[in-house]
This record gives sequence, structure tokens and C-alpha cells, in this order.
Amino acid sequence: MTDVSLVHLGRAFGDKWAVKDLNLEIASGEMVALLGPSGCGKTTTLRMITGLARPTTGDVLFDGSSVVEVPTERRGAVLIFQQHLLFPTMTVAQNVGFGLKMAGMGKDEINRRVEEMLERVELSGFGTRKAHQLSGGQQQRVALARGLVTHPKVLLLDEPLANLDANLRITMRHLIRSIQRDLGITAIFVTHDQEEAVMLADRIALMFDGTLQQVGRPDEFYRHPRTAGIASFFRSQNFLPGTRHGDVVSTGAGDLAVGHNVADTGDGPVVVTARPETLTLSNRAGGENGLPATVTSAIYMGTHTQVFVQLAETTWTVHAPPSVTLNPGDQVFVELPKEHIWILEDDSAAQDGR
Amino acid sequence: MIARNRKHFSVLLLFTVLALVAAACGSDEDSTPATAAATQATTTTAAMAEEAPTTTEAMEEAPATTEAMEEEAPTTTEAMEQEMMGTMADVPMYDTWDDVLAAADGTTVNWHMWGGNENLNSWVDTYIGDVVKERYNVTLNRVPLGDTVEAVNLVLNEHQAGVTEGGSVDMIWINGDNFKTLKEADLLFGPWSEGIPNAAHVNWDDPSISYDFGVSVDGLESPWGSAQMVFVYNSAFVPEPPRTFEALAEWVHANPGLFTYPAPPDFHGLSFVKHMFYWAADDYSVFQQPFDQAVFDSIAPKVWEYMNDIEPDLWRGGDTYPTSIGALQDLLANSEVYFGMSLNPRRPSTLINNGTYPDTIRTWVLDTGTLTNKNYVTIPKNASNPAGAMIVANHILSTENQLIQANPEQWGWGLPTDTSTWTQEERDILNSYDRGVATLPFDVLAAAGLPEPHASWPTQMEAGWIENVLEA
Amino acid sequence: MTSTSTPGPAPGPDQAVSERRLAGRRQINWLRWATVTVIVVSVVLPGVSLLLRSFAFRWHYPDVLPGEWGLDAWAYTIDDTSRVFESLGNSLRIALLTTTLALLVGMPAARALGQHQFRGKRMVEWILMMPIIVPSLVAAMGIHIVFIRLGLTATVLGVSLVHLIPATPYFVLVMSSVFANYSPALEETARTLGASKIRVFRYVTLPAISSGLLVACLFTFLISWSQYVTTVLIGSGILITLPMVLFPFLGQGNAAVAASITLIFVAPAVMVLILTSRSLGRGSTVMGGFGKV
Repeated sequence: MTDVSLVHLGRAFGDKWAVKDLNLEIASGEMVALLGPSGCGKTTTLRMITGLARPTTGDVLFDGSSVVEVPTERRGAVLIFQQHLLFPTMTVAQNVGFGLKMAGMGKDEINRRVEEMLERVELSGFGTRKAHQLSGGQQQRVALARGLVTHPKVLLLDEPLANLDANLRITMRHLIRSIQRDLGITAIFVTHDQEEAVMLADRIALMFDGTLQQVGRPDEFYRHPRTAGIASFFRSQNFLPGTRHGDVVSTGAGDLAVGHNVADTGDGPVVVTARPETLTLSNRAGGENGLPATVTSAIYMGTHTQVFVQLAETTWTVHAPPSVTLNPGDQVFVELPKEHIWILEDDSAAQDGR
Repeated sequence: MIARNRKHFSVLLLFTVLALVAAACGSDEDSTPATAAATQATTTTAAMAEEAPTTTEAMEEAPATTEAMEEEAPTTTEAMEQEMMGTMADVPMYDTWDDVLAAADGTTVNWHMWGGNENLNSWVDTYIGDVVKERYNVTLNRVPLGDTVEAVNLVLNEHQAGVTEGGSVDMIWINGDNFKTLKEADLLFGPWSEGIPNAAHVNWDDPSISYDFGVSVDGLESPWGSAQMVFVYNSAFVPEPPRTFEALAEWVHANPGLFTYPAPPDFHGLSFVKHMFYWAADDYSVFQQPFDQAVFDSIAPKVWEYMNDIEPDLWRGGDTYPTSIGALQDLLANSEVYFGMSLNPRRPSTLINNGTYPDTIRTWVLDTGTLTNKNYVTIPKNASNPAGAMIVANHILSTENQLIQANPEQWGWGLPTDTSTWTQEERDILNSYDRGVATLPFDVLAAAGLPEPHASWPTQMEAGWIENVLEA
Repeated sequence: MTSTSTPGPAPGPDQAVSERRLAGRRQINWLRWATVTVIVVSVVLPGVSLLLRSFAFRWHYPDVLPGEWGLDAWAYTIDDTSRVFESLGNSLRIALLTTTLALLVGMPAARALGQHQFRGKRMVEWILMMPIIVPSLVAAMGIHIVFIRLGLTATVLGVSLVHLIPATPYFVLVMSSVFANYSPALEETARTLGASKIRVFRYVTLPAISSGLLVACLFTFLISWSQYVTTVLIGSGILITLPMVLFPFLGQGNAAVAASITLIFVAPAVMVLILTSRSLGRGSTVMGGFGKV
């Protein structure tokens, strides 16, 4: 049971900072996703936690004590890569028992624990096989077993589900979560896939360009993203720029009243967003926060109809009931209920940069 | 997985092939540029080396003779040393032969020499190495080379590196171009060869000794062996060989496909061309002078005419020539042709004895004679042990060693020494030797000897042959 | 392959994999037989011919077997005068030292070339290949002069250093292709699992590259083993190796002696190949079916 603290952590290559001033607290037994597009510094962060990379600035603390000077092999932070998972010259059992052997454990004890762990990942009887005799999913499970059998302080996974097909991802997700919870191991994984992060993690730490953007539970990234950049990374498409004056935001399509649950951005330029399923279409003005818009297209999706509308200078997506039929050019009013509106910091400059 | 392995497999196979090819040809290719110049000289020495008894019975007889020789030796050597004391005057570093003996005591001589003849290697180790060790406490380290030019390169490189003493080469078996190279570079120790005691047995007035392929020896090398061209025939098919070039042409036309000669620059092939020039010239002494274009132009047409005339009736219609004497040897051994040639008069007998030639092989010399030359040992200027080298060279010329060298049951080489300086008893031993069924007597060979042309001629002859015969 | 206890994975992909594997195996079989044939024709037959030749006394065309037999060639070969055993020892020492040096010099270079992309990499590769293109004699001539001044001529070390010139490129070529297919992630995984750097090398790196390393060392050894001109030059002719006693006999020397010394010359190489072929086949990620032939 270990908690991990990253304090002002940074790593520079020349004058370029791969990771810059990163602060993150990970509770014991928690599973945190380091999420971000490729090259955002998440893998570098992972390597600094394992000791494979040395921080340029800051510190890594396990249970409050610095581990920067502790060599990788004594840190107890096991890393599982997405590729090159298993030692090719060893059998499955030798792979799983590798960490125990390095720890100097007796043969019988190793065999017992390896068998136990192989059972846990549903690979009993595979012990004598070689890595190349296993499917991708089986290799993934052996790699997991090999990491967990040593009871590491921290389990680090690099894109754990990236190479698996859809069915396997679900199976693996359950497996990883259940074992991690059962053993109470602190786990950190990196991924570029926001769905993977949402499915697997207790909390997500989102990074852009080496800098931590937002940390929180998965749902917070959907409901309350901090910036438009974060929101669009989570596939949000509805952004309307405006100017905030207290509880009113004036936009190109009209004024909107906002509730008290929104972020305290202060007055000035902001971006208004709302998720497509919280919006209502009406053919009459006067509804709550109804703004005039023009339908550009409507697609029947079975559970709902996806309607694209022109709202001022922006395109919004609305999930209307499946019964709704609309044609391009139809004039409608989009109603944005106060409690579902979310106000974002205007980071258009940062967005353009990506 | 398998696909990846197969990729590896092919890459590794490629490397294997590359490595094998490199391993196989690497050294041959590497040596080509450097050795080209020296091929001629080496071929001579290589051919020289082949004269010997190869049967073990003959070898086993050797010790008895050696013992007999050793008993005789001391008196002769002592007498010689007394007589020669004064002539050491020109030799650098040493005033008397005793100085040489004292300086060499307990030293090692690195003798760099072509090492491709197992009999020669044994003889040198047994009859020279063991003897100088026992008698003078000089250890002989015979360094086997594939080509004499490698020793020359060593000396040249050491000179370039500024090694003026303590060099790695003490003595080289040498003649022709390699000697010329080192002499012209002023990298030879001496003069010494006319000052050593046993130089008394060498007739330094004989131009075939004092000139090494037209280069004046000047006391910088001491003779070791003697080579002379003989022609070879298979008496099973040719009862009486043609003794003139006119008779040869007649025979070739009457028996197409059964005569050929190695293509120059093979040394034997070039020698054949030289003999043609000697035949075509009214007076072969013109070839003892440096090359003269006018003389060449007056003689060459007759040579080319003759050679082109017989070409259609040569082996394979003259479309191709054997590229080496070895190839011609094989053709003769397999009775594909009936004639061969050798720069070592005893070699054909040796080849019968070692099973290469059928026992019907015989040799003859032309009525107009055949070319002869000597091979030598020389000492580089930067040699670590010139004293030891001189002792070895001196021992080579001792009558004791010369009789072993000339004895076909021990060694069987041509002699560079003047037997008139020997005692009658020694000459009687020499004349009692059975030199093999295919070997001509000493006096027949001696009477037929012709000096080699000046070194400036052969290249012109070779170029002319290529232009007017091979490419005509 | 398809386990019933495996919940998730559909049998489809696995079956496809094993079918492909079977097809691959058939190809490997075909390849194996072809290789066996090539080896028999190119290695065994000349070997038999050499053996006959070494005992031959009278062997004329077109006889299939020698007319008379003799032991003269072998008597000479095992005699001190031939210097075969003395030179065998020198050759062995030089080839082993050359291999060791190639290991020290070539491993870091091969790893850098195989695993990293960097500016000027192609240049480095070309420079490394230069000794294959430029005759090593040319380089050796220049080095000889330097070595004379350094006192390295006629020493085992000096000769080994010069043998590195033709040998290192092959070593680096083989090892860089081995490293190109070897992920450092495996080493990092092992480190996080508690293995020190030394143990990572012992348990992870070495087993993964061992078969390739064996091949590279074999090449290096054989290239050194067959060097002639460079040895004569740097060895001053005084340090005598096996090619130096063999090569004078090739071409114009006694064919039987040439054959018997040649057999001694190739014996260690063949022995090493036979000994290593087994370990090359076992658990090899690099050689695939090669070693199992």
C-alpha cells in the first residue's frame, strides 16, 4: 500500500521540457490514468516514477519519502510495456517468476506463487509455453501476472489495452481492475485514449505539452472540463464563444442565463458548452435559453436523431428524440437548460496551437 | 515470427557467403598489387626448390652421409678461414671473421624465404639450421613466405618508419627484381658476400654469378642455388625430341595439339620467348646490353612470325595458353601435351619420384643452349643480426653443404660454386651422385648454359608477345 | 493453441496464426533440405577430395581415385619443420584476441546503430563498411609504420589489432541487425522487476542476442583465422600463423601437403560450426530454422 507524490516534477531534453512542473498526488490503492495525446510527456512521467529516467527538477515520493536516488530495481515500481511484453527466451512460468527469482526467493516458493498467479489470470497450464506460442491477449495477461506476483508498491502500465481488439479490451479491463483492487496496488497507466482512461481509472490526469491540464474523476472531464481544449479532447463538439457579465453570457446568437454551478471564470471572454444529450430543440422562441439556429443535417441513429445546427458562427450537435424529423434549412431554437450549461476558460490560443 | 526469422535467415546467409568469399579470396586479392612485380623472381626460386628426393627411403639415408661429411669438414673450413682473414676489410662493422663468429654467438637469424616446398623447408632446417646451431650457436628461424616480395615490403616499410637497426628481417632468399628493388633503395647490408671465407669457392668473374638478371651484385648478396632451363618430353610418345626451333616447328605441324608453352608473364613462358629471341638473333650477346629498340625491331619480327606460324597447331589451336608452369605440368602429367619445360634440371626427375609425372618423362637442351641464373641470399641494412646471417650464408657455400645440396638423395640442387676450388676427393663424390633418370649430367648442362638477358629486355619481350602473338 | 479455459479470445485469429505457422514450417522444411544439399555439395565433397588428396601419391587425370597412396604429406605436416602446430597455437591466440577486441569495440557500435536513429548514421555505417571495400593490405601498410614506432609489430596484440580492420565491419553488421530486432524495453521491464544492470545482461540481454552474438564472433574468428598479408606485415613474418605455412603451398607447392595443411586449417572452423550449430538452433530468436538444419 503506497501513495505516490509527484512534486514539481520536470524533465528537459536540451531546452525543451518534456514534462514541466508536474504536481500530482496518487492515493494508496488508487488507479490513475495519465492521459494525453502522444508526445505530451506522459510516458516520460511514467519513466521518472520507475527510475528509468532521472527528473531534471522536482521529486518523486513513495509514502512521503523521496525515491529519486533509489535505483530502478529496488524501487518496487513495476512497468509493463504495451509491446515486447515477455522475455522471448523464457517460458511463461519463468517470465512470471522472474521478479521473484531476482528477489532471491526459493524455487518451490516461486513455483507456488507463479502457479497461483497464473490461475488468477486464467492461464493455468500455460507455464511451459514460450511467449511466441501465446495470443496477444494471453501475453498481456502473463505480463500482468509477472508484474503483480512481486506485489509491487506501484504498478505502471504503458498503454495496457492498446494492442487488443474490442472484446479483449473489455475482458482485460475487468481483469486489471479486479486484480488491482483485490491486491490494493497503487496503479498508474498512460494512455492516449480517453475511453480507456474513463473505463479503467479512478482518476484521470490529463496532460498537454508536458503540462498537467486537469485532474479529476472521469465524469468531471465530461461534465466540467476546465478548458475548451480539454472538452474537445473528450469529444465535445459544442462551443459558443461569448462574454460573461456575472450570470449572463452574451453570445453571437443571443444572451444566455447561466446557473450558479458553473466554474468561477470571472467576467470577460468565455466559451459556453453543453453536451448534445442535454439540449432540446424547439420550433418556438421563448423556451429556457432558447437560441435561434438553422438545421444543417439530421441523422437517424436508432436511439436518437443526431442533429447538426448552425448556431451563430458555430456548429452544434444536438441529440433529439428518434421521432424527430428535420430537414436542412429548418429554423429551430436550441434550448440550453441552465443546469447543463458549462462555462470554459477561453483557451482558443492554446487550441490553435495543437 | 517465422517471417521475421526467414528475413534473418537470408541476411545471415548473405553474411556467411560474404564472409566465406572474403575469407577465401581476401588474402589473394590483397596481395595482387604488391606481388605482381616480384612474380618472375619468385617463380625462379620456387622452381629451383623442387629438386629433391621425396621418397622417405632416400631421406632416411641422409644422416649417414652427413656424418661422413662432418668428419671431413673441419680441416677444409679451418684452412679456408686462415686463408681468407684479410678479405673482411670491406665488410662493415666487422674487422675479422672471428668478430663475426663472436657477435653471432647465441643469436637468432630470421631468414625470410618462400616456404612452399616441404622438402626444401626440411633441408634448410636439417642441413643448415641444425648445423649452424650446433657449430656456431646460431639459431636459424626460417620464416615461411608465400612470396618473397612480402619480405621486401617489410624492409621497405621499416625503412619508411625509420627503423635503421634492429629490423625484423636478417636474411632473404632473393634474386631478380626483388634484389634490384632493395639495392636501388640502398637498403642492403654490405658489401659482404665476397669477404666471407667461403666466397673463395665462388667464381665472382662468372657474369651469371656477379650479375643477377643484369643487376651487378656488388657484394650485396651471396649465391645459394643455380637454375637452368631444360625442356621436358614424354619419351613414351616422342622417341627423339627436336633439338632446334626449326625441328620443333616441324614436329608441331606434324602433331597438332600436343605442344604449348605457358603464357608470359609466367616466368617459364617468358623464358621460352627469351630462347626464341636468342635463336632469332645472330649473336645473343646483344641481350647482355641494356634494351635497344633498333636491335629489338631487327630481331622481333622473326620471333613473332615463328610463334604465329606454330600457333594454330598448338594445344587447343593456340586459342588459349596455360597460365602457369603448374598448368603445363598438369597437362604433361595427364599426357594432354607431350612437352614441358623446367628451370630446374632435376625437377622432372623429382616429379617422377613424387608421382606427378609418368616415369617415361625425360629432358633435353637445345643445340643452341639454354638460359641459366643463380639465386642468392641477401642481408638488409637494418638487419638485427648481420653476423648470424653471414655465418649462414658462409655455411651454405661450404663444400660440406654444397655436396649435401647437390646430392639428389639429400637435397639435389644446382651448384653456384666453382668445383675447381674443391679437392679431387670432393669432386669424385659429386660425380658419383645418381641424379635421376630424367636429369642431364652436370657437364651437358654446363656446356649448354647461356646468361640471362639484361633486366630491361624481358618486359619488352613480354609486351611484344602479348601484342604480336596473343592478340594477333 | 486454443484453450477452452480462455474466456475472451475468439479462436479465429489463433487458428489463422497456426495455419500460417504451418505454411511457414513447410517452407522451412524445404529450405532446410536445400541448405543440407548445398552444405553437402559445397563442404563435404571438397572435404572428401582434400582428404583423398592429402594421402595421394600418384593421382593422374582422369582417375577417380589416386593410383598410389602415401603418408609423406601428413608426415611433413605433423613434423616441427612444417611449423603447423606452432602456427596453429598462434592463429588460435590471435583469432581469440581479435574476437574479444571486436566484442569490446563492436558491441557498443552495433547497439547504437541497431537501436538508435541519429544524424550522420548513414555516414557512420559507410565508414564502418570501408574496410570491406578497401583492401586491408592498404590500411595495414600504413598501420605497419605506426606499429613499428609503437613496438606492436611481431606481437599477438599488434596482429590482432590489424585483424580488427577487416573483421569489425562484419561483427557490427551482424550485431546491429540483431539489436535492431531487440527491444531495450525488455531490459527496462527486467529492471523494474528487480534485476540489477548486470543481472539484466545475464538473464535478458545475453539470452536474446546470444545466437546472433555467436554468429558474429564466429565470423570475426574466421576472418582473423584466414588473414595472411596483414599477418605477414604486422607480424614481421616472425609471428607465424597457419595461413603463413599453408599459403606458400597453394598453387605451385605439393598438392598433398597443401591438402593436409588445409584440412588442419579448416578443422577448427568446422568444429566450432558443429558445436555452435546446436546452440544456434535452441530457443533462437534470430537464427530461426538456420541452426536446426
